Parts: sequence; C-alpha cells; structure tokens
Amino acid sequence: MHGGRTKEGTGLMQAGDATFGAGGSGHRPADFAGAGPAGAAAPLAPLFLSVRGVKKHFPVRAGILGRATAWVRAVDGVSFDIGGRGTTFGLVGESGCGKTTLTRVVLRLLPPTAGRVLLEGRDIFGLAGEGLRRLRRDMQLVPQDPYGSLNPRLPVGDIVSEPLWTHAPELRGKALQRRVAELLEVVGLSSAHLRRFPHELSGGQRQRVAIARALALNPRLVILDEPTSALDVSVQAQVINLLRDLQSRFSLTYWFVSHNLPLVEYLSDTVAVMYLGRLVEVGARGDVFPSPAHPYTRALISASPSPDPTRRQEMAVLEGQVPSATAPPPGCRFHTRCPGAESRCRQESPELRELEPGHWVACHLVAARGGGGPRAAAGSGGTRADAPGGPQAVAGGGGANQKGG
Amino acid sequence: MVSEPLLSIRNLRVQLSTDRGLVHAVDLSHLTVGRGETCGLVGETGCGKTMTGLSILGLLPTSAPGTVEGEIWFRGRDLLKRGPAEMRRIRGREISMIFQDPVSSLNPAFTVGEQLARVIRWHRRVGSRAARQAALDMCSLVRLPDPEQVLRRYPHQLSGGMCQRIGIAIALALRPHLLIADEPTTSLDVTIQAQILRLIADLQDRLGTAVLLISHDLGVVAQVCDRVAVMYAGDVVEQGATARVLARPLHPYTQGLLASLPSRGASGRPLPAIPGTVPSLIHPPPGCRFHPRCSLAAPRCSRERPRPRAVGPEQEVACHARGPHEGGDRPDASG
Ligand SMILES: Nc1ncnc2c1ncn2[C@@H]1O[C@H](COP(=O)(O)OP(=O)(O)OP(=O)(O)O)[C@@H](O)[C@H]1O
Ligand SMILES: Nc1ncnc2c1ncn2[C@@H]1O[C@H](COP(=O)(O)OP(=O)(O)OP(=O)(O)O)[C@@H](O)[C@H]1O
Ligand code: SF4
Ligand SMILES: [Mg+2]
Ligand SMILES: [Mg+2]
Repeated sequence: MHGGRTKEGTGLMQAGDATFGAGGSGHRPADFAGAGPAGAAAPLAPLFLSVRGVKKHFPVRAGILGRATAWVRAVDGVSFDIGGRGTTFGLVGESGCGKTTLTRVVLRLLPPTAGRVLLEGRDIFGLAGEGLRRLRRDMQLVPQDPYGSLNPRLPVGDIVSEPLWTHAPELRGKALQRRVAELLEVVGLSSAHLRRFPHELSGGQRQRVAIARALALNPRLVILDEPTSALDVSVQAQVINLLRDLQSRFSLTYWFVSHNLPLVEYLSDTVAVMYLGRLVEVGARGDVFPSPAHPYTRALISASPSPDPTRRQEMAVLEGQVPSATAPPPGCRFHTRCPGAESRCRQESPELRELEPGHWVACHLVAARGGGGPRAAAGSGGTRADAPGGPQAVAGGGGANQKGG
Repeated sequence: MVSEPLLSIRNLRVQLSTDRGLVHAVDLSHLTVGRGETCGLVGETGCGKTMTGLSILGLLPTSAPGTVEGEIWFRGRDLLKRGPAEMRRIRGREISMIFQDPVSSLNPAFTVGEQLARVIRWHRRVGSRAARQAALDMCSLVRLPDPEQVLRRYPHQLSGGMCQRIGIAIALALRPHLLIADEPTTSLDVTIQAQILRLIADLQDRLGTAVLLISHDLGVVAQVCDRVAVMYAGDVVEQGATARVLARPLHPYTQGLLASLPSRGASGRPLPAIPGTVPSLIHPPPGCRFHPRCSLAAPRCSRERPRPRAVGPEQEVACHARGPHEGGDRPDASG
C-alpha cells in the first residue's frame, strides 16, 4: 500500500514540478538542507524561518463605544528559528496558549502587534504586491478546524482547485482536472468525492480535503494546525506517511501544531513548548522528549495517555489556577500551577536559557541546576530591544540531515 | 451485562439519501452501554460513529433526509418509537451530547455566556442570576481561565479548545443519565484533557452517568473506558472489555489500528497503515465489509457477512477467521 501511495506522490509532484521550480529559481538559496546550527552562524545562508519577538494582542471591547478595556496577550514575545529546509518544527502547548494565533500572524492572516519574521531572508511583515503574492504561495496552512475552514457552498473539486485558479494560471482545463484528481488520490479520496459538499463528508474526510488543498501549490512551508486530530490512527498513519514522503523528496518544511505528543515526537526534528503566549522550552526531539526540563513540559508528557490498557496511569493533573491571557501572572507565567514554584518564580520572569547545546528552557530552577547561566544570544536576536534572547541555533538540529551530512 | 443495560442498540440501520445515492451510514448489529459505564467507540474516519450518536438523540442531519430502522432501548423504552416532543425532553434531561465540532455547534450570534446560561435556565428552571452563577461555576470546572471574561466573548474569539470546553460545560450542565461525548478532548492539550476526563469521571461517580465516548485517541480509550466497541464501515466489528480488546485485539481491523500508532523510537520509519482506503458507504463491499483490505480474507469473506461471536467472556468479534476457539484458522477451514 505504501508503495502505491508513493507512486501517486511522484505523479502529484511532477505535475506541479514546473511551478515548483519556477517559484524557487529566483529566491531560493542554492542548498539549504544542510543549514542548521552551523549554517545559522554562516552569514550567507539565512535561516529558513526566523521568528523574533512576535506579539499579538487582541483588544477586549466593552460598552457601547466598544473601547478596548483590556488586551488578550495571546502571543507575547515569541522567538525561534527553523534552521534547515526539509525539517519539521513541532509546536505543542496548552489549549488557548496562542499557537493558532502565532501561525496566523506568521501567515499574515492577522497583523502582528510586534516582532519580525524572516522566511528565507524575506521580511514577511514588510512584503506587499508581487512579493506578498509569492509569499502566499510559499506558505500554506492546513487549518485546525476542518469544519469551519472549508467553504460549505463549494464542492470538493472547487475547494481543491481554488488555489490553483488564483495562483497557477498555467494549469487549466484537462491539466487542472488531472491535478485535482491526483491531489485527492494522494490524500486517500477519489474522484467520486469531486462533486460532494463538505457537509456530506465525515470530519476526517474534510480534513483530507484541507490537506489536498494546501498541497496544491507545492508550498515551501506548510503549517499544519492539528492536521490529524480528526482522523483515526490508521488514516493518520497514511497521511503522516504521505506528508513525510513529500517532505523528503522536495525539502518541504513543516511547522506542525499538535496536542498528540507521540505524534509530535515521531515527526519533529525540533520541538517547542508554549505556555500562555510564550515559549517555555525549545530543543531537539531527542533532547526534549526523553528528558523534558520545564515543569510544564514534564506535566504534558506525563499526562499523555498510554494506549496500553494494562498500564492504567494516574494521569497527573495540574492543580492551581488556570491563568488568564488578559492579566498574565507576574513572574513565571506557569507559577500558579507549577508544583515546584519558589518565591523567585512569583516575581521574576525567566528568560529562555540554553541548558545544553540547542536545548533552551525558561525556568529559574532548571537554569540554576544546569549552571550554564544566561548565555546572551549571539547574532541578530541580541541586537533587538523587543526580542527576548531567542534560541539562535535550535531548529534543524537533531534532524536526519544534520546527522547525515 | 448482569442487569438490563442502560442503552441497548439492536440492528440499527441509518440511511441518508443524498443526490449521489443512498448512504448506508450505519448498519450496526448491536451495541450496549451499562449504567455508569464508560464505553469507547472507535473506528475508521467516516464509519458512522457520529451518526450512531446522533441517532440515539434523534438528530439526523437536516441536509440529508434519512431513514432510521432498528431498536434503541434506553431506560425501558425504544427511542425510535418516541415522538418529537418526548425526544426533545429526553435530550434536555436524560441524554446529552458533546458535539464533535466545537465551534460550529455554538451559535456565532450569541456570547458563549448567554448560550450556557440559557441551557441552565431552561434545564434547572432557575432565574437568570442563578443561571449566570451556575455558568461561571461550570466554566471553572472545565478549567477555562478567567470565566467572567470568557463568558462575555463570542465563539470566534475563543480558541478551538476553549469552544470545546464550552460545549462540554453545556452537556454536563444537563446532568444526563447518558452522555454521548463525540471526540470531547481532541482540541485540548493533554493536561486539560486529563482534567476534563477526571471531571466526567466525577460526574459518573456522583450521578451514575454512563458515557459513550467516541474517540480516535486509543490512549484516552485505554485509560478511561471499561468497554470498547470498534466500528468499521457502519458496523461494530469487535467489542468487549478494554483490557481485552486493546491488549489482545482479534479483528484484523482492530489489529491494524493498534499497529498504526507511532511508537517511541520509530521516527525514521514509515508508520504501518492499513492498506487500501475507506470503502464507499453508498456501495459497501459485500460480505465482510473489511475484506478488500484484509490480509486474512478468504473467498467466504466476500460472500457472507460475519456475525458477531463471543470469543471469551468479555470479547466478541465479527470475523470468519475468528472462531469461538479463536485458533486463527483460515476462514474457509471451518465452513
Ligand atoms: N479574534 C480574537 N479576539 C479576541 N481574543 C482572541 C481572538 N482569537 C484568539 N483569541 C484569544 O487568544 C488566545 C489564544 O488563542 P489561540 O487560538 O491562538 O490558542 P491555541 O493555542 O491555538 O489553542 P487551542 O490549542 O485550543 O487551539 C485565547 O485566549 C483566545 O481566546
Ligand atoms: N450530512 C450528510 N450528508 C450526507 N452524508 C453524510 C452526512 N453526514 C455524514 N455523512 C456520511 O455518513 C457516513 C458516516 O459519517 P459519520 O459522521 O457518522 O462518521 P464518523 O465515524 O463520525 O467519522 P469521523 O471519525 O470522521 O468523525 C460518512 O460516510 C459520511 O460521508
Ligand atoms: S471476515 Fe474475513 S475479511 Fe473480514 S476481517 Fe475476518 S478475515 Fe478479514
Ligand atoms: Mg489552536
Ligand atoms: Mg464523527
């Protein structure tokens, strides 16, 4: 079966190959695949994606005048890098901590409150016109909600071909139809689904349509916001295999948001853990999962349910007040629920510090144990007032292409 | 199954007529949920889990007029024979559902506080002040931060997981005998998930509520369900005690599901997926609906539909290759 899918995958990408190459010829640095920690330091190889000090605050309005009475600090100073193309960056965190908002800001679907994002050296927030058009091709989203995100009035065929109509004028008529059929095939649907409407599909079928649509333009960066949470584990396995297959062949970079920790561990090269608008831990998969450093990461990993019914866990429940994003607690934002909080945690906000190479943690106690001390981030991050010392050389680390070459 | 189960579904057939033809969304031989029990319902995407849940409530999608046949026994009466007024009452007081789609099951035109308070006012017959307080309490119970403020927001101003918790609060506020929870925690991180699952367990302890938990998360099912039923293409193919079904699955589909889970240290390798694709429910395969994808399939499997058979005290499976002795013989060897 896997072999069969692989063949479909080839056809899919060949059909779009011309556009893929054309999109990249002008902008793409020759070879990014090896850029990681070392590449980050080299001046000529910009990071694939570099996020610095990004904030997004939403006004809370009240009264007839609708004046903002408070601000939801949904994303409150996030910095990280995805070093190498073709790697996977996994983002996990509390529900409501700002993951979706962060992706929407990076995709320019929401205006940022502060910060700077570079995609292959392009300043995302500064783009307009043709540059912005190209950016929209290069970054695609598979949204979190497979129900609300598909236009209920369009049949599946139109939903999938819509981005091709807008962005791929070279594909029309038979070629367009063929491509749409291929895309459906590759996500496990058939042309029998072409004329169905979203409401006629099950949740999982809708999510496959969303994936087909996102893959239509051969993007560079695909942001997957819980792409498989509506799928059963066997269909999930098919989709994940497919995503990996496309990734390795065309160096697609994935930014993968999920609550499914075993899946994040399976897929990601680098993992970031978010809590209440900030990153609390970033590192290579192989560092974070076996030995999580931040107490929130540890709570997450211990609450992840095991599918073995003979091993019933006492799922650790985090006691304490769930803090509000409107008035985040002073000091460490996790202190209201942290089992080990000390007085310092209630006063001082911990910065991300490098615990071991490439493994960053924002916790007073962990930093003390590690003894590394605050290592000022070298490079661009340190020069910006609004950027907290960001992890400069994390993402891409631990990836297969790192070890291999 | 010592006393009469709380819910007992027999020969349920749900057919939806669409412009492409009749969709055989559910064709389920039997499924039971005992009092106070948590029964998991897992299975392939599109196999009819949500439709089964909606049929219990008498809520089929308006977009596809359908027919429902069979029996759904609940507290001594057949729900399929009740009129709309009685079903409305049952939905309000005896059975409630956490809907799979948290965002669109809420009304975008009202704040979530208004929606929650309305349900509470109607159900408990209390004034608006008491309802507001109860709504606040529910929000804290489902671990929503800053309840005062969250209740004033509209659904689109909340994250996916926050909407989901509002849906949970509404369903729990009804204090039902049976809670149908359709993927209740998929948009939640695992620490909040653990708290919600504990909250549901508390409700079960206090009120004896039974839960039909529809989920793709085999981890959640393994951890909280007493029994589990595995559905494929409209029917339950295996059911029984969770410890047996998940630890020693017998149906080839269940075995395939469990094998598809990513395991630690498997990062470089492709995940084992069940070959083939979800069958069309307009023209479901004859015989065993799983046979086109089954590695054990024999000629008999494409001719004759396997009936569920007990393969031990706490497990039953519908597969020609699995007899009462469960020797794993070839399907044709026995007949
Ligand atoms: N349009 C909006 N107006 C006001 N607040 C908003 C808006 N959109 C999001 N928020 C708030 O921003 C915060 C972050 O929401 P976001 O959707 O990014 O969370 P998330 O991490 O994706 O959560 P989940 O895991 O539940 O999807 C939440 O407190 C949410 O209520
Ligand atoms: N409104 C509708 N109109 C026509 N067909 C529908 C409609 N809703 C569902 N179906 C079909 O009925 C079948 C059963 O759908 P159902 O939603 O019960 O699946 P499910 O098991 O809940 O799947 P998932 O795990 O993806 O939520 C599917 O094949 C689906 O295509
Ligand atoms: S009845 Fe036959 S086709 Fe169906 S699961 Fe059993 S062996 Fe496979
Ligand atoms: Mg989200
Ligand atoms: Mg469903």
